[in-house]
Amino acid sequence: MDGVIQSLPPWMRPFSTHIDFVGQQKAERIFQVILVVHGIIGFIAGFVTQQLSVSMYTIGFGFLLSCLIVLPPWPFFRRHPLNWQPNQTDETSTSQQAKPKENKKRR
Amino acid sequence: MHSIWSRANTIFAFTLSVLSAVTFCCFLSTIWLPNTAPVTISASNPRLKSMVDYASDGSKSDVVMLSLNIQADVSSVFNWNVKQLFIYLVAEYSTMKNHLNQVVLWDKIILRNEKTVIIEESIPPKYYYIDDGNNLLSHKNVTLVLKWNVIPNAGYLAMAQGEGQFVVQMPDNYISGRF
Repeated sequence: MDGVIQSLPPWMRPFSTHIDFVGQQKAERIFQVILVVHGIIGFIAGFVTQQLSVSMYTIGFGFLLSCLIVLPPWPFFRRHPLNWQPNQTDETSTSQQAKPKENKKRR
Repeated sequence: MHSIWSRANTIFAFTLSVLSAVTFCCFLSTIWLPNTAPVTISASNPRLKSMVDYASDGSKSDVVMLSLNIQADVSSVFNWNVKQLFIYLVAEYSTMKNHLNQVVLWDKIILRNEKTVIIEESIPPKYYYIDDGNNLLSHKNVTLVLKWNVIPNAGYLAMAQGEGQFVVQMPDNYISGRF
């Protein structure tokens, strides 16, 4: 998506969709909780009304709610940006640093 | 989870897993429910003819015409895991040729949220009652039973039988002419 964004006109480029690693953790926990809770509510509601369609609609609503909260890169997902080292110039050989340790909390 | 596509993919896959878990729990919540119901069946005026059975080997077979009465209320069989019921009336009997004969005389499909009371009075069989051979003359023990397939939303196809049956006694001679 970020590659597609670079090819857009400049006034549209600020819409990147990345979120930082802590945000990714939060996002994953949020949608898991939302979907499981809606699954449980859907089962109970379907059992009470004796209609399977009620369960399906409840899970569908949970899906849309999760999409709304997790898909767009809201600011609270970007509270912990990576602390990149400042740019080093290439002429001083002693100041060649290794890449800063990234917090590898990939899924 | 770094891009919108990655997050959308994860959410969608997890939604499908939740759906399958809820569907499985729906199946578990209904497997031990009873799916029988009381039925009242009667039949009258059985008439026998001997006709050539063209669908079989071309020899003569017994053909029965009779008047059926079926009354049943299957609403207690429906639950949230039942999509429809396929109900059929079977004539069961044993002859010297076959240990068990089962001939379907009438059937009906009832979907969920349709009328679940069956009242059929003095109807002829929906399908021809043709015996496999000539063994229905004077047969005193032809049992009519009402059975149904419970077709679920999730799970296996269950078969059940209605509580109640009727024994038809076949006449001792053939009739000639039309039924």
